[in-house]
This record gives sequence, structure tokens and C-alpha cells, in this order.
Amino acid sequence: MEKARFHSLVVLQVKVLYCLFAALALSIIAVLDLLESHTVFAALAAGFALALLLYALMLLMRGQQRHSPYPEWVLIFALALFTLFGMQQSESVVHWVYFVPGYIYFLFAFHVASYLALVYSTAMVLMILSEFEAYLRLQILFTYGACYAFAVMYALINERNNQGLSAIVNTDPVTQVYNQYQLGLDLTKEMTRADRQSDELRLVGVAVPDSWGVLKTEEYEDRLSFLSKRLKRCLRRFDTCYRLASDHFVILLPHSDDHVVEGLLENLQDDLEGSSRYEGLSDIRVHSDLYRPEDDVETIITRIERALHDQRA
Amino acid sequence: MISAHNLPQEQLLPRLQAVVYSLVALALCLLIYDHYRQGLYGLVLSNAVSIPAFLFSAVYIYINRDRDAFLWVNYPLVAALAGLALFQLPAYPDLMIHYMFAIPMFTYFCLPMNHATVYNLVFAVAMAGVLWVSEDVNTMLRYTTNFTLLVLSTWCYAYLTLLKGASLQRLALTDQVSGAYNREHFYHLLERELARGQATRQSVSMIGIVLDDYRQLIDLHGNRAVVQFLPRFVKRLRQLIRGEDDIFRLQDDLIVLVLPNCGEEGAIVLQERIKRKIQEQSWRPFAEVSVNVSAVTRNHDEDGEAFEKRLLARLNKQQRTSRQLAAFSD
Repeated sequence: MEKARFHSLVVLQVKVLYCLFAALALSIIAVLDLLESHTVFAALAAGFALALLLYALMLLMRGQQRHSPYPEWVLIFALALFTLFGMQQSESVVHWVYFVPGYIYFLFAFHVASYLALVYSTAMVLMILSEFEAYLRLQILFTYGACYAFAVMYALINERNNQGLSAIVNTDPVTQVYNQYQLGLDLTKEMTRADRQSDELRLVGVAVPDSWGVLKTEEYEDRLSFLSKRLKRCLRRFDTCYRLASDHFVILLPHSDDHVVEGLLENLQDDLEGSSRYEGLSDIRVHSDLYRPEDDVETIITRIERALHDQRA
Repeated sequence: MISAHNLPQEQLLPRLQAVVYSLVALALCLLIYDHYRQGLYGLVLSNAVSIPAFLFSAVYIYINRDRDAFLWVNYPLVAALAGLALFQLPAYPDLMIHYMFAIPMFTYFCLPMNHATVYNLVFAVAMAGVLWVSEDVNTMLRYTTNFTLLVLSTWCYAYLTLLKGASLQRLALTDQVSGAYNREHFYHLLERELARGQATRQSVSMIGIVLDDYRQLIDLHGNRAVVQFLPRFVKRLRQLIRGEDDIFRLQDDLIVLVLPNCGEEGAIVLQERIKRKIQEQSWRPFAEVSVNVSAVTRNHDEDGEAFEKRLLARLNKQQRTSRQLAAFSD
């Protein structure tokens, strides 16, 4: 299984298990509220539990398909409203405010989460100051402040870490081939080698069928992943495949001549024509290019992209 | 002055911990004043113990911020806080239950994830026990359920974030510290170069460079100095090799150069040049940087694994010889 898919599968499993466990916990709270005759709170807790259960079922039914973040946003806004209005009615509701900063920083991008948490915290602090007696007030604010601070710091560290990692990730997560940045590095090296050894360096551009452009993201990515696998199958052991920012693929063929390129294109065509899995594969556009000593990286990539574009016209 | 802009995660964490602990100590001062005003003297005493614990941890972490040793101080800190909270829980249940809700976030922030999880589970059980004895079953069930759910939420947050980081790490080709390529990319590239060498009948060589006393450098000068040294070291190596050669950092102290189309003689000449240039150069703040360098050229039909093993064996042998020579000269 590909790494990206394995990652999304684990995320899905964790989310489903969390929703089920949270639903169970809320059911216990609902029963306790019912026993203490807090029927409104019991109904609310049961409502949240049901919503989480339905969400877990939805996640399970959709499987690995990309799912919208809106249900999670709705749940967190519902929780925020519940805590702000519920704490006026019952003291035990205030425990739920400690969940909010963590949820916000987990579900939203860091800068968006910072604004949301600030707005929520302001409302929450005002509510605590006006609704609670002096005995509890400062203790609640202290705990909320600590939860808020730890959530921010945790999110900050992760944000920095992911930024740092993103800068050195030169593999495309969807297709598992190298990205355009890595093509730049490798092509510079190969150009030097070709110059030094007076060898021929060829590149083959492969355009993604236009008909794929209208598909949903996950269907489009499935096709890209499939095409990249087919491309990799046709390569020699020392050829490399890259995905450009424009989504077209480029194959780097060092020590190659016309025969090597022809062989590759023939193999690729046979492979794609033999596959009936996705439409558009049989009339894929390709362009072969030869490195010339006056070329630089940008020139070659632009030339290939332009040639692929012209073929479409 | 703390500058967060150019610090990697391992160095940012202790600095943030020092800042947060100082802020918590300040907030506890305010809380003590409030408790004192209300006559809650038991809580005043507990918080009076917590403040020096936080301040000591903040100072200790800040002093050891560039060494690995700072982490242990968090264990007694969380244990002390949990002990104080459980001790005061029967006397002030309304207040202490709020205090306890800060613990999951705190532990996942300052301890490794597995340790934080075990700690929180043990704490939840202890809390349930104390509440069962001092309060009624309903209260115990309600508070323990809420607390466990908060622990689970924080665990999910920590786990999924960790997973995302690990997933990105697996896709990365570059070592974050030195800027050289990483181990993952080494195997791909070596396979490619060996296949290419076979097809074009060109030789492939590797040069291994081991930084002597790497751990000692960290102990003496701190992580930060070593983290700043490594990119300079890799940059210098890059100046000594050809454009088609690649640099990899395979272990903390092991750097390997892959040299396509380079025969044994060329590799030996380059190995000697690298050794000489590294020893000639000044590497402040280190007085000197000593390295062991070895070169190997691929034998006919040798695969990547055997090729790498042969390089490592030669490096080990050379390290042993260097140590014996050093002992002999002493």
C-alpha cells in the first residue's frame, strides 16, 4: 500500500475510534444527567453522542474517499456554543471549555485557529467573570489559560516542524515520483554529466489527458497515481520520473539515443492501450526532447510544457 | 534572546517549555493571592510548592536547552503536580477537578507521547479512586469520563500530528540538519547509479567520512553548535567534489559520498584531499575536527547492500587502527 494511502487509512481509523469512544462517553454523561433530572443537558449530551455516531458511520461508509471537513467544523462550533450558553445553567458544563482550544488548533490552520481561539476565549472569559462566583473564577481561568497555552505551543511546534519538513519533501505524495524541485536538482547534475562525458541526455514529457481535468480530486489523483505506476514500469533502472507543478510527467533518460526513446514510447503505448481501467489513456500526448549544451533547467522544462500544450492545440 | 525563526523543532521545544513554565509560575502567583484572600490555606501551600518546581524546571531547561539532558526534569515536575492535585482533591473537589483538567495537555506537551499516555491513564485511575472514596459514584463517573475523554482527545491530537510529521519525513529526501541527502534517498540513488554503471561500464566509488568523537562534541559544545557546524561541513565537502557526485548523511556522524564514473585511483586521491582540507580548515567553536575517511570502488556484480557493507567495514577497521595508534602514541 502506498505511504500516502496508508497514512489516510490510519487517520480514518483513529477518527472513527475517537468518535465512537466520545459517543460512548457522552452517553454515560447523558445517563448521569438523566438520573440527576437535568433533562435538557441529558438530551444535549445524547444529541452530541448521536451526531458523533452518525459521523463515525459516515466516515466508515465513505472509506478512504476524501471527506469534507465541514462536519468537524460544525461539531466544534456546536461545542463552543454549548459551552458558552450551557455554563450559565450548570457548573459542570464548564469542564467542556478545556476541550475547545485543542480541538480548534487541531482542526484549523494555525493562523485561523489563533483568531478563532482568541474570539472564543474573549467570550468565555467574559462569561466566567459574569457568571461564576469568586471562589471558582480564577481557578477556571487558570486551567483554561494553561490548556490554551499548551495547545498553542504544541500547535506552534508542529507547524514549524511541518514547514521544515515540507521544504525537504521532494517526493510527490500522490504519485510517489519526484517533484519539480527535485527535477531541477537532478537535471542540473545530469546536464553536467552529459557535457563532461559528451553523452546524450533526453527527456520525455507525458501530458495528463485533458478529460481528467474535470474529475473530482480523488478520482483525478487515482488516475495520476495509476499513470505514474505505468510510466515507472516502462523505465530502465537508471531513468527517473518526475511530476511537474503543471501535473505533467517528465522522464529523465541519461545515456540514451533515439532507439531508447522509441522503445520507451512503444512500451508505454502498449501498456496504456492494453489497460481499460481509465478512459483517455490510449491517446496520451508525449513529447521527446534532447538536451542541448546551451540549455538550462528552466528552458528545457518550458520547452517540454509548451510542446505538450501545442499538441493539444 | 530567544529567536524562534531559525530553530529546528528539537531546539524550539526546550525554549518554549522554559517560557511556558515561567508563565505558569506567574499565573500560580496570582492564584495563590486569590486563594489566600479566600482563606484556602491548604491550596496556598500546594501552589507555593508548585511555583518553585516550575521555576526550577524552566531555569534548568533553559540552561540545558542545547543538550539532550533537559527532558528528565519534566518527569518529577508532572509527578509533583499530580501528587499535589490528588492530595488536595478530597479537601477541595470543586477547585481541584478544574486544576486536573490542565494535566493532559501539559503532559503531552512536555513528555514523549507514550509516557504521557501511560501517565494520564494512571492518573485517571488514581483520580477515580480518590473521587470514589471522597465523593459519590455519580460524581466519580462524570469527572472520570470527562477527564478520560480529554486525555483521548489530546492523544488523538498528538498521535495524528506525529503521524503527519512521520509521513512527511518518509517522503523527504534531505537530512533536515545538514542539508545532505538522507538514508532513504541513498538506497534509491545507489541502486540507480549501480545499474547505470553496469549499463555504461563505468565504475562507481563511495567515500565514507566518520566524524570522530561526535557525542563528545555535543557534550562539550551543545547541540546547537553541532547543528550549525554540519551544514558548513557539508558545504565544504560539496566544494571538494564534482557536480555529478552526491552527499548523504547516513548516521549522525557518518557522511557518504557517491561518486559515479570514478575509479579506485580517483577515489583514493579525493579521499586524501578531503582529509587534508578538513584538517586544515578552522571549524569554530571546535578546536579541531578529526575524521576517518575511507574509499571503496564497486567490484564487478556487487549489489548496493554488499557495497555499503564493505565501506562500513573498511571505516570500522580504520577507526580501530586510529584508536590503537592514538593509544600507542600516548
